[in-house]
Amino acid sequence: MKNKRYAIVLDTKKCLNCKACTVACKFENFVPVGDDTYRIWVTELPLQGKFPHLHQEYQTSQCQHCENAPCEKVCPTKATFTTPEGVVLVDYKKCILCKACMTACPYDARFVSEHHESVEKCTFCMHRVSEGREPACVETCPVRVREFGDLNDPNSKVSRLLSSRPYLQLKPEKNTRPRLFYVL
Amino acid sequence: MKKKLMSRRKFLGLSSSAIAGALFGPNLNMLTAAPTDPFDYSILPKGTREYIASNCAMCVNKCGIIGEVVNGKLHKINPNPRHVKSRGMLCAKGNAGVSLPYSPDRLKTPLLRTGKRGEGKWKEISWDEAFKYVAKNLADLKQKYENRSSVAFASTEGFQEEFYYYLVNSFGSLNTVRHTTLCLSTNIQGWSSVFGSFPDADLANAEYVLMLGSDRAQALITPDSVDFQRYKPKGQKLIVLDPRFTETGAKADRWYPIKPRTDQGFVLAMINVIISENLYDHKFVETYTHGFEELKELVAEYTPEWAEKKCEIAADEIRKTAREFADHAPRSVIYPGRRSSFYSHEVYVRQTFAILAAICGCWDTKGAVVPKSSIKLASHDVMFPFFNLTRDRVDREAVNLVKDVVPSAVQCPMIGTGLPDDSCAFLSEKDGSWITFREAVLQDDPYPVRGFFCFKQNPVQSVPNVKKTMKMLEKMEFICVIEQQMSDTAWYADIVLPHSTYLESWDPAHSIGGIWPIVEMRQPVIKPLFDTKTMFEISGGIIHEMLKIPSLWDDIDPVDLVDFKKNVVEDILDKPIQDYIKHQLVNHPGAYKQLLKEGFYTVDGGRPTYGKTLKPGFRFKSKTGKIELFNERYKEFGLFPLPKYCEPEILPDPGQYRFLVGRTAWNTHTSTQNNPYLWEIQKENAVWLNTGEAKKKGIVDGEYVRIKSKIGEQRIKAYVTEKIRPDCVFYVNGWGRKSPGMSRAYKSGASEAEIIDDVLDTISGGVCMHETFVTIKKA
Amino acid sequence: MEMSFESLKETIFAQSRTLRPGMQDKHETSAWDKNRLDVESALALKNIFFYLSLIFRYPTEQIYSEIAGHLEAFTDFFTDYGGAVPELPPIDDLQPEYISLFVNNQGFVPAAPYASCYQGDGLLMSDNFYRLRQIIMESGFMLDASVHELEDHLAVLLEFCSSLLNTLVEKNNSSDKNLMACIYALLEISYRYIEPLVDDFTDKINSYASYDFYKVTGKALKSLFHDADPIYVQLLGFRSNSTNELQG
Ligand code: SF4
Ligand code: SF4
Ligand code: SF4
Ligand code: SF4
Repeated sequence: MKNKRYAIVLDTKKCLNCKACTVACKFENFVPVGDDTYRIWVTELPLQGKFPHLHQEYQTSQCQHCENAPCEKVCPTKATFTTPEGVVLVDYKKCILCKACMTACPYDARFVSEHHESVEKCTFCMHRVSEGREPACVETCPVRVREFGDLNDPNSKVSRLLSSRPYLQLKPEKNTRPRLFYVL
Repeated sequence: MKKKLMSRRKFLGLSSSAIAGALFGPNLNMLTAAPTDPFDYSILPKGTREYIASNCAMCVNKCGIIGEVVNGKLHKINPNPRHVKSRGMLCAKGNAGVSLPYSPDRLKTPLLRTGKRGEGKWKEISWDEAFKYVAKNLADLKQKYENRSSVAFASTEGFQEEFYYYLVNSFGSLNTVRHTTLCLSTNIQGWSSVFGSFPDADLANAEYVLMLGSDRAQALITPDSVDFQRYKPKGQKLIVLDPRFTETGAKADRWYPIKPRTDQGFVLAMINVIISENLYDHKFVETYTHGFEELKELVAEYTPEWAEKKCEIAADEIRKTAREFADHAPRSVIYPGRRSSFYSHEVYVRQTFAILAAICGCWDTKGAVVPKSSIKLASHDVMFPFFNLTRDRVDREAVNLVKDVVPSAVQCPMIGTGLPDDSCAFLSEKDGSWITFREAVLQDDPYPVRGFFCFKQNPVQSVPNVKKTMKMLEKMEFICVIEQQMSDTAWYADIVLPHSTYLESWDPAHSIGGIWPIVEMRQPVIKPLFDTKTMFEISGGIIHEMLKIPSLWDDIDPVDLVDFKKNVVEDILDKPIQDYIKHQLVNHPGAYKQLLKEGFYTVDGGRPTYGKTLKPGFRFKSKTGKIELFNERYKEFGLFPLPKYCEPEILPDPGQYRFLVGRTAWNTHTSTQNNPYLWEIQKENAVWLNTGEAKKKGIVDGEYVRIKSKIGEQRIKAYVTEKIRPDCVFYVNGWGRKSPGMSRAYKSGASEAEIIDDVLDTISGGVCMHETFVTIKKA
Repeated sequence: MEMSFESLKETIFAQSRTLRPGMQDKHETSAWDKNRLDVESALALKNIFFYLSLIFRYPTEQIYSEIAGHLEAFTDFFTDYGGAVPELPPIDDLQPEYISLFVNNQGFVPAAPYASCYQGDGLLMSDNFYRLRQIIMESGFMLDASVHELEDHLAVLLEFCSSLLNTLVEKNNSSDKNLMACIYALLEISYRYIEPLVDDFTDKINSYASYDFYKVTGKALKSLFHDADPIYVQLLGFRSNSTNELQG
């Protein structure tokens, strides 16, 4: 049997900038309250154009679950590892808080969590996924900016989206091969 | 060895007076022996995880939730993916609801004021004492003023409000004020003047959507906020008119920065184009409407060129929009929205919207504006006693009261349109009108109101012109507030009764009308943390104490009293609330079980039904039974029956900006800013100021400014942006609260109640939040 | 093998913050000889804990008169730890003072008397809460049905510590294991629940109080728990690595 390859496909054009996803993730994953502690974020991209011809988009992001993950490479204790499904995780017990991964990550996806006493980041909500539930951010979004699923299943929503629409990935020049895909 | 201690620890020594001197009295222990020994582990919530369905109450939408309770503690609120109305979403506030029961700031026990009002001196009392105290005060006021309406009851919508009215009706006051006139009364009135009811928009199926002044991306309304992006049909066009480039504007195919207060002009010109170019739905107009010829005559002068001068939108754009709208009809929506407490002529604005929908036949069909359907619940046939000592509402009896709050009545060009300047034409029985009500109380006209109950409303923050609200509260001899948190209003109360949170209480079944009608109910997701009660229990408690005071029942027929005791008290309030709910659902077998399991219930799988009002023989709720483009009742009332364009009565002085107010997706009016998970998203509000204007004034982004109206002044950060027109400024509501204690919201940002002038819409009694002009200065 | 006080504390903190396995499995290795208990000190501390528990409760007439009636006996304690003998305002002033500091102020509560509020996101019933409920129950206690409070209310915690000391003093025939469980509970409550609260709690009192009463009693509470190591070492007769010098 073939392994699953998990990914998130985002259609950020729909994003309302409502922050439901960021709050949901905080509760789901015991992410402490604070400006520097978050697994997922929504950014207002710069306003384009001149009044009254304006244009603005909102971009949400989280750990890219890189197939070629710089954070994993620099971790001295192998606390950061990749699951067979391609999900990059941190073994909180092994983390010695050296923060090498935080420097290495090109997406600024990691932070120090008091709760786990470890560096941490998005886990694709694997604890939910293993129970057949969707990641919290995917589920709560009013407009369903994200779909989560298995790239190896050609009928999954993610596969179908990627085969039917062009997409971008963030910072391709870093050669990280992210598992987050932004459809256009 | 033990004796060689540092001197500080001398209390540990043999000679310590702490040993001998401390023979404490009996019955002081908070802890007692546990029931079983050896200990029974099964009573500990060990490693349990439960999922309990209910509904969100962080705003009015009541989205479906599934509480995830781990070891007895609410860990997470998940959206209910099957919920027909919320479509499986849960917003930031809904998610942050987890912290509501666990907020240390919440009210925990009944509190009785011991110092001066607002001084903050309280003592704890038991619920029994509280019920007695309230009942006694009600009796005293009734005795003193010989008028039960001398006590007013304010409330905000919510499932438990039903039981608040048990209290109101058991006392017999007719003075009730709800939040409606602070929110959508003009909208309801305007649309109803045409269609006889206030409809919803079928955004999931519309091809063309015109939104004026609604920010559905931020002021979330389900299912609309979901549908307009998640389910938008391929090729759906969205046109947004708003003086601000909102998050919704950012989603639009076209955004028109319309001049504030001229929306009506834009739509009138559209109607003009559609009629003059013969683009309207002839058959629909003929079959269903009344007054087309009069309308045609009225709009003849409202050409796009005329409107361009009013709205500052090019005539060609108006023409284009009109043609597109007609082209996509009937799958075109002019979006009714919700909050419409904007301008003094707002009812006519909404009437104009409705007329556009009507002439294009965009009514009660897929993708159009559709009347709400609802699922009927069985009601309890409760008869409250008829009290002799009850006078009519103050805001109805009052005449000429409102001249202070209606813009310059004398030279008012509105008089030409027939707007009354003495009272409200169509006051809702239950809702009342906040502004008129407050004026009447302040002037003791027609009679004194000296008692004030407040259930989960916070008028100190939410009603414009806070100084008047404070004066009104000062007049009261008795104030009782039922709340979850020590709100600004609760702070001025004589007695504060703590209400359980929505996650801890049983709430009755509630039918929510809409294109997708549902029934909802709440069950406790967790056990109450403190000694709080629900309105069901509070009303029961107070009414029982009232029954012990004979003077409260001396103006009714004794037979009524016997019936009341049996039918209301014994059969309803003394029974478990579940019995009440089961009775509500008697006609829907299986509904109670379904509600326990899913938190909502639908008939027919919740599928929409279109076209009920288009069937032969259907009578619209209007004088003629038709869709009235020309409103016959308005004519009878001396109001202008057609949506004649209303010029602004209040004009800015040079250098003034029109003040606009709105919402974000992460705060609900004034109640959520103190939640740590929402506060971290936004820590204060900021005033939007157009880049060019800021430059003229030398104001830079992020610096503090003073914003001043005729009512008051606030200090606030400036957000300098291209996203707003130069003639207006904006900030989101609910900040800068009075409470030093809303530790997070206090002194962070500005309050709107401190600067918004209390202007009244005299047709529906609504407030006008956008009729205030301000100046901005560097702080 | 005898455990030092420090390693005992470490064992406690090594445990998870959520629920823990039944007491039975846990204390096999540790042993404690009841003869080492400094009984007088234990009695004194027991009374001080109880008195502080009374102070941090809502001053009903009954509680108020207990506080007033016994203040005298704790003069030494307050002088040493609070820097003064607290002056008790009239009950009509103390009640509003209590409410405005610890129950409800305008929209918020300045010094929430709950251990949970000083951990994590500052809300009630944080991670440690159910563990606390378990410890209390396993020690043979539960909240009286008439008490509408959470178990981590400071007054409950202090009363619980007082009761545990009482058990240590009185249960002559109990096995070592039970008494050791008592010591674990006492130390865990002191260090995991009360100590992390005291600094912030007293700071808040100081900035919001209108009278000195809670300022002084708060300061005494704070100093007492800052001083907990040597007190427990002395009282329980443990070997200590770092507090030796204090014992001379
Ligand atoms: S985004 Fe950063 S943290 Fe995530 S896998 Fe890539 S490098 Fe690692
Ligand atoms: S997948 Fe889970 S952990 Fe990752 S951002 Fe979404 S909610 Fe957070
Ligand atoms: S929940 Fe969805 S719409 Fe809201 S901010 Fe997140 S991605 Fe955007
Ligand atoms: S929109 Fe948000 S706050 Fe309102 S009911 Fe839904 S989830 Fe709750």
